[in-house]
Amino acid sequence: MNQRIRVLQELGEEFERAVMPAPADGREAVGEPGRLVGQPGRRRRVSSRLAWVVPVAGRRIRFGPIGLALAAIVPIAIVVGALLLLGHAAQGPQTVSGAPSVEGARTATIVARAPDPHGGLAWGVREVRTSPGKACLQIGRLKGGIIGVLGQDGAYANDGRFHPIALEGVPFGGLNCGLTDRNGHAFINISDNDAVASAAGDATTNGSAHGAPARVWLCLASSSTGRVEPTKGSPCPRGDMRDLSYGLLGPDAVSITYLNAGGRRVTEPTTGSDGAYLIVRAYSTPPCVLTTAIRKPQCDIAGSTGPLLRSGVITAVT
Amino acid sequence: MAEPDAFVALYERDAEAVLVFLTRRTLDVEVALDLTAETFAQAWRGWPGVRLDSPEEVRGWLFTIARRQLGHYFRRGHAERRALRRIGVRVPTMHEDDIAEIERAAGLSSLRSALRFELERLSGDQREALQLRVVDELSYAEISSRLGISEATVRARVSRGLRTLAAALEPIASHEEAATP
Repeated sequence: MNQRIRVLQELGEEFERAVMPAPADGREAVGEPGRLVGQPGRRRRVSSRLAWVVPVAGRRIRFGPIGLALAAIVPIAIVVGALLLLGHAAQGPQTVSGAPSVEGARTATIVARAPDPHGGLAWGVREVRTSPGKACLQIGRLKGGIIGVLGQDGAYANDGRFHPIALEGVPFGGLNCGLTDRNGHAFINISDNDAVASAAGDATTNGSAHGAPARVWLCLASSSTGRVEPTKGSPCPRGDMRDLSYGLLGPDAVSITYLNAGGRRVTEPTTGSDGAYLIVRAYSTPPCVLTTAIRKPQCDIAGSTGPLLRSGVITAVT
Repeated sequence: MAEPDAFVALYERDAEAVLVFLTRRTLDVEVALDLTAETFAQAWRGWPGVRLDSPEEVRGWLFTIARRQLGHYFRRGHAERRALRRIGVRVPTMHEDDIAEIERAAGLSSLRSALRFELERLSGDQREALQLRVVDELSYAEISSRLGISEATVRARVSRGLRTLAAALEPIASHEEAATP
């Protein structure tokens, strides 16, 4: 695509991925590049039997009160999640070696993509399916149908190269997994308000112990071996940060409406058979969410992971 | 003809012309982008059956689809997205610099000034909505709030106003007609 109008270029890439032939069953084999696949007639109307979604990712796991009809299964999800969290819970940034893995990954598909607000490679969400019945989401920058991490913002020693994210090891972003329901659908919603543009993970620290909004954000640094550590005392430029919202809303979700960075309401269709979406916005200081703490209130602005839609970015789902 | 790569080539060649065509008739770059996307999605649906011999014929067929989308928008007040959903294509978010670029390519500023003189032909409701949307460039939400009516009603008044003005807009917008069948 060689359009001088950027949005036309991005739309052209959408069409190119939708119309060009895909692998035989519409999914990639493990270890092969993913491709966004148009699926005519994919909107099956099914009953709302919901997944037991297991929130596994990251250091900040919260469930909120908003969640359409999903609310009824939250207690079950929490119990199942807690069980499966054993051995999975990410304690801060993950390293390439020893990272939690998508055990038995069978298929992987790029289910959603979105442009980066500052240009460059688009972002993509990859859904990894395992047997039996587990779905995980990975997010990264998209190049040639593969998601990966850019060597910038401290990642990979700023080598400027594209580093594909392995299917069975999620080096930075953590795992965002859920069990599928009997119809094979997963329901996962992730909000990450402090991602770095490299897709190498999060950039903020928790706020002060006094409940004030977090003011310090740190780029993540890593050596060439992939080990990630905060660069203490080195603020991450706001331009190198992004607000990410992505997930699977289920097969009945046709479109989402959200406010873009300019405050304009945008409605976009979901993609794929599980109602996938991905919103990438320029970083904006999100509101402080006080989280439970033993001694002092903590201000957590970073995001959420779970079955419920609580990012606050999406205003309507149809 | 019905090869995917030929369709991609068609998009690459004609997407901007379709977008400009639709922008000059809707006076709204975001609506025009939605209509452009649906036009190509509809075109892809019909692509296997296309048996046209020349690029000009294919282009004419494409603009026929675009005009049909425009007619739908004028009647219903919103862009159709059925074919887009069917093939799983999402319309990207417009960048600020895109808006300026598209408006420049479509010559929208001169069109807006010409339109001021045509507004008098409209009913009061449509004129007010069109004035606020096209000339004053307010968002639908702002117009809804200002007029105390729903956004859907605002959209309907704007699209119907544009339909009424279509005859006037056509010659104004005709400078690209030479390039569009």
